[in-house]
Amino acid sequence: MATNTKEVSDLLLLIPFIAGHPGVTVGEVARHLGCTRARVEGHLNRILMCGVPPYLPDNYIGYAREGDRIFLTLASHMSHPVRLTLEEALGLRLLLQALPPAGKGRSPAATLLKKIESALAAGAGGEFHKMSRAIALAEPKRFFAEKFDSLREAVREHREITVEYYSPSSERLGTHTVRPLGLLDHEGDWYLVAEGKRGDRLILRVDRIKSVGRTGRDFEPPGDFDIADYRVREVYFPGKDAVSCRVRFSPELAPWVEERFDRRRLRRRRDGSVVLSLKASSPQWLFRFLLKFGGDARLLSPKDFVRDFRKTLRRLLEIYSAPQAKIR
Amino acid sequence: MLPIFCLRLGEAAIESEAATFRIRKMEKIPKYERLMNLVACLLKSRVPVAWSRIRGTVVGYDDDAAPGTIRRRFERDKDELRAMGVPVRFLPPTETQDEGYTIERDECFLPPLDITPEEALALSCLSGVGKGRDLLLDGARSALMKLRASEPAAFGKGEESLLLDTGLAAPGRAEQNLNELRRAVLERKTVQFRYRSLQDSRPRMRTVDPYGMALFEGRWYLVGRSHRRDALRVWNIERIAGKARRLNGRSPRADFEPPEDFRVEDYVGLPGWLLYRGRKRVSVRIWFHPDVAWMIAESAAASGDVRREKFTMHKDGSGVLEVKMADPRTLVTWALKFKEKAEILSPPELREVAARVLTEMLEAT
Repeated sequence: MATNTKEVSDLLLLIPFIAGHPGVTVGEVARHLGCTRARVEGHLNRILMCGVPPYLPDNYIGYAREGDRIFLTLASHMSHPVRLTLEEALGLRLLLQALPPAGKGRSPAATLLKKIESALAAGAGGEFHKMSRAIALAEPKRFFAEKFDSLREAVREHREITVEYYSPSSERLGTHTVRPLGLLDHEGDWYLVAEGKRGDRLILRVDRIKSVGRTGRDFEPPGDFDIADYRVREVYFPGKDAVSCRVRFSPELAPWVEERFDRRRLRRRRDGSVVLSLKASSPQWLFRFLLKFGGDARLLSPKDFVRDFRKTLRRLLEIYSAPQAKIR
Repeated sequence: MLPIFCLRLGEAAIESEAATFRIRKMEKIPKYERLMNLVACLLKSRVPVAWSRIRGTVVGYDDDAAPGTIRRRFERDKDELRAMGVPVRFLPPTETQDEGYTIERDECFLPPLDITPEEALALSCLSGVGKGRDLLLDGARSALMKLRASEPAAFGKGEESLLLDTGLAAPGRAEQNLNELRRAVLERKTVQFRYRSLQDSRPRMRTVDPYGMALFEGRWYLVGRSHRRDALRVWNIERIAGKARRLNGRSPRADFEPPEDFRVEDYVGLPGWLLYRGRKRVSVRIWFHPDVAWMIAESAAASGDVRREKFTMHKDGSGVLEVKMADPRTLVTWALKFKEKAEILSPPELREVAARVLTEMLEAT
């Protein structure tokens, strides 16, 4: 959309939004619109220019300010939002796809999708269906709707819970008592941010939680907790006792590694291979990481990890040396 | 020419009323103001508004330009308004009403959607998603505002401690191309870009009919027909060097039509072992320990149809996954990640591949 056309659609959006929320602040409007306060102020000045013939003072939309709060006057003819354009409907559909699954047969994402279709601008329906198949989120779908519902409820009601969790560091299923603080989606995976028994912060991947139970106790969440603090590029936080490791990748894999990892952690060698320095909280995590790459990755240090990794490889090789699997 | 020039700058001290009037007439009315005036006039009026009235009184159509020019301006404005979801219609005369232009409220305005508290809560989680500027993210934001504006009472104060961080707008380098490519997909325009594949040391020019795009693990991928290969290919948008551009961006016509049955999910987000097109897919059975079997079962239940998987759970909590596989190495390394908690049962050749990969790793370490 051209810039001045965008201005018009913004105005047609702002007038009903402010009319529907009398006393909304400039800051709130800017947050919803995803723009600066200055841009909102500019739009407000433009709203004042909208009038109808014969352009007498009360033929113009006006607004009153109370500090940061805005009130519109004489806007009743324009106080209803316009139907959704194709871009708006597609954008909203993408966001709905990212919503967590819901159990018990009620999925707001599904019912909202139906409503979006009825709210489309005239003639946009056909394109919306076609483009819904062309532009999409391809994150793997998760099947933990009911479990997710219990977690969500526990977060909302501040209920202490027990979770049966497959720990990636011990590689065992165990039961833990936690106080759930928030849920976070990162690149298609959901995480539970919780407080452990000793007041430590835990980040548990929801698909590794096998079951959720209640302890019957409620808790007071820490006042300074804000889930937004967990919006990061990587969810992996190495602990204090994490060990520095070095892994060499073959020249074939080097371009891929250079694309994925922070360049400050990489060193290119003359033979075209690349060495990655990283921190590992547990050798188990590191070994799983290495196994993904087969012979293209080689653990250089620390020495005791190298020794343990060789042991793991030998154990696995023993399993696969038999031509047939044990009958399972 | 000189007096007009002076008037435009507003430098000449003109005191007569007639001259002031002329300034108002010649002052350029910004386009947004003209369009908003037109919309306001048509919405405020209960009857269709005759062209003669628009032309004479609505600010922005009331200047001294030639009648044909003003008419063309009006036609262009109507097109732009339609693209925003505000159709301006001409109604022919009837027995009770004169001819004129109108905006039908039902056609233009959002109908009542009766948003439930659950839906409102879900929508509240979505506001504030993503920081970037992007055609669809901007679209989503204004859609959310429209729903709020339409039914403000449905949205309570309640917000959940739920954070979505979908990476909907591509971070950094890819951002500049995301909008261009989105537009190309929506308008069905052939695009050209230089692409740095992992095998090539230097970026090479690609000409592509973009059929669709999908987000997977925080990255956007473009799917389309490569002109050079005349086949469907997938491109990682972050690997585009420099700017992507539509070849015939100005023409309103579509350059191509994607196949009727095209679905972007069939190309992006599949596990690596399914990806090698043209190779024969082999059936594989993998056993899982009770500690992890339930996880595999959940994922197979959620997307087994797309991923061509089936899981059978045993009484002791262990289970067997059946998958189709085109690339042995990717599947083997995936299974090895579970260490002793998974074992490839069949075919025997795949067990041999596993043994070979492990031997290689032992030699390398």
